[in-house]
Amino acid sequence: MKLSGKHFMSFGLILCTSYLVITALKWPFKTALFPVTIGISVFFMATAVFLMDLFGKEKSDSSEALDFKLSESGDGEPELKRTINIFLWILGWFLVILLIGFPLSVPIYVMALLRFRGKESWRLTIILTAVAWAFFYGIFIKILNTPFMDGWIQRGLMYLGILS
Amino acid sequence: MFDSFIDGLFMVLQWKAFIYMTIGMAIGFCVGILPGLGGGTTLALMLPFIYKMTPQEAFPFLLGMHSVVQTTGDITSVLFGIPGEATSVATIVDGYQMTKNGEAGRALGAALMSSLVGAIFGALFLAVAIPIVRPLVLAFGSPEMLMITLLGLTCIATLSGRGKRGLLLGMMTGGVGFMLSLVGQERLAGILRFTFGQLYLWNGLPMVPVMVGLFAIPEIVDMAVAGTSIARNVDPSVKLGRGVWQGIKDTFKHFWLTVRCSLIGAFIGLMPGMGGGVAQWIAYAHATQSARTAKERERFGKGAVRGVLGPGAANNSKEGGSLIPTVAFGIPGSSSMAILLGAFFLLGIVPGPDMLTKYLPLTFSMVWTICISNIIVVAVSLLFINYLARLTFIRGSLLIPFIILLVLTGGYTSNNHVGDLIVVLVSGGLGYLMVRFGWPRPPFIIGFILGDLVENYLYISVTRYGIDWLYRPKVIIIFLIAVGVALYPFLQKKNLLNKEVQV
Repeated sequence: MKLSGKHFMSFGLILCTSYLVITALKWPFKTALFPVTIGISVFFMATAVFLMDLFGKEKSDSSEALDFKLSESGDGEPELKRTINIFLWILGWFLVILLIGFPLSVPIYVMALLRFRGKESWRLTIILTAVAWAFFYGIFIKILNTPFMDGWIQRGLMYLGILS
Repeated sequence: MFDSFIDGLFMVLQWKAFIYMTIGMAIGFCVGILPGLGGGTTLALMLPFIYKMTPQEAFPFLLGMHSVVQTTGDITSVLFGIPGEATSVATIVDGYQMTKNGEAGRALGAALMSSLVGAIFGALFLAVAIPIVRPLVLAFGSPEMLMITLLGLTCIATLSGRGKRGLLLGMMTGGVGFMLSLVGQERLAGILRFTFGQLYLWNGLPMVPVMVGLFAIPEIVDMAVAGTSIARNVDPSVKLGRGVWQGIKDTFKHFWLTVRCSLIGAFIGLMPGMGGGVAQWIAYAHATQSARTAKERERFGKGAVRGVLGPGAANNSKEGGSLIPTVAFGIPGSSSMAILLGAFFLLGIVPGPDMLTKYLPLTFSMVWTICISNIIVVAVSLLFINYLARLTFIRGSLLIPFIILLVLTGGYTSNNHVGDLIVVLVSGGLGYLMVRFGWPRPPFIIGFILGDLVENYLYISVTRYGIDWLYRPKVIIIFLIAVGVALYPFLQKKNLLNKEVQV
């Protein structure tokens, strides 16, 4: 019997529903009614799925879900490596937003993604970065007036009196 | 009645009203394409502009904008797998898959034409139904509404996977959606649930960042892993837009499916509190279940055009449906309609019986606005479809930065809070795991959207009727329909296999 990610998914859900039901039982009736009903139902369903995956004979690969299917790596590079790589890039953009704010992060990160991840030429990188920035600035800052937060660095500089 | 119908048309065609409608359509076109910016939010943003307008100008402006949002929302769903609107998520399942198979033009043609048919059907439904729906809406109490929402979830669960395990997984992920909807301040007693001391979570998890993350991030990861353009294994010299006529023809080839899904959308739009998020999935479920052969059913999720037609029609027809309770009873059928209700009061009009007598031409002008604005927008979109479809040949490394930018900004504009970005990332991770391990996402989204409503209906049913709510005749009938829906795929499969053996 070999444990895989799907076993951990359903076991994780069993733990989550247990926590949900135990927490909800402390609430008054009207607050607890729905969480307890749902929590108990999902607990039993997750347990059934876990046991079916563990001991069942029914085919249970991801292809049975009517949802889109993940592709395989095109050039033999390990999928896991590429998956982790792109997740880290997305997470990196979030961290850059936290550090320097949304508006500044856009040109910097688009340029970094195009040049270092996509390995595009400098010329194309600069042109597309300008397009991305113009799109972002025009729509979200000029037209929609979206209030973007300052990054931690700007806030730190403001705190020190360097930025106003 | 007929005079009012014609007066309504002339009201929309007056030059001032028509110009306002065109401006509204242009805004709606852009809003539909931009992920995260919802039609409801934009309606709210546009309200200050109608102060100086007459009702004959304001409604073409607002409805012209709102009714095309769903139509153009399908474009990004089909081309990039990013839902332009929360109501165009179901189009991704088969539409984006068709794009990957090099059939972007056909998918767009089908999505746009079915949207047009749906919009016109919804508008006609509005025109015909206003005088006769009152008893229907009032006959459904909380227990019946609870059962209808559970019926919707069952429909989705049945299409989520094959076999008993597939049904179980569908119901389970629907339950997980319900669980996530619990986050936030509970409205009945004001108790905070699973907010972990975060003020941001008091209002619950925001819908747009959850949906954008859940559906778009797995697509981005997939594109990065495949290392190709969106349209894969397709010769770039092939004209993608060439399939447009095929897509349009598909709409008429499967015309009754389009009409049935439009009817589903209009009926769900009619039910206060339900809405496009639900309508599109039930229509998708119906399209799946109406497959005539086992082979046809197998195609769903892999690029079946019927999977594009169903949601495309339903998410547009529900607009006409949701206008009915808003106009006739002052009960908004959706959050957007609640905002539109605000516009009624701003303009000094009280929805209700007056809309069917004194303001009948104005009511019919709404019907015409929905029809005309959708015809114009679909025609414009079809003109540029070749250029839109070519985007899918651009290599992934060039598209990925722009798609991530859209995902992050789309998520952020929900509350303009850093928490939105965290929700996008977490739901993106969850979405990836769900795809990886075959957990269906559609029931999860339905559970998440309907969680608040189901809780409310359950509480009212239990406190008002005790256990007796389960014995109400309409509840039993809807329950039996739900059981039938759950069993139908098994019976259908057996039937189709028997037929094929006989052949």
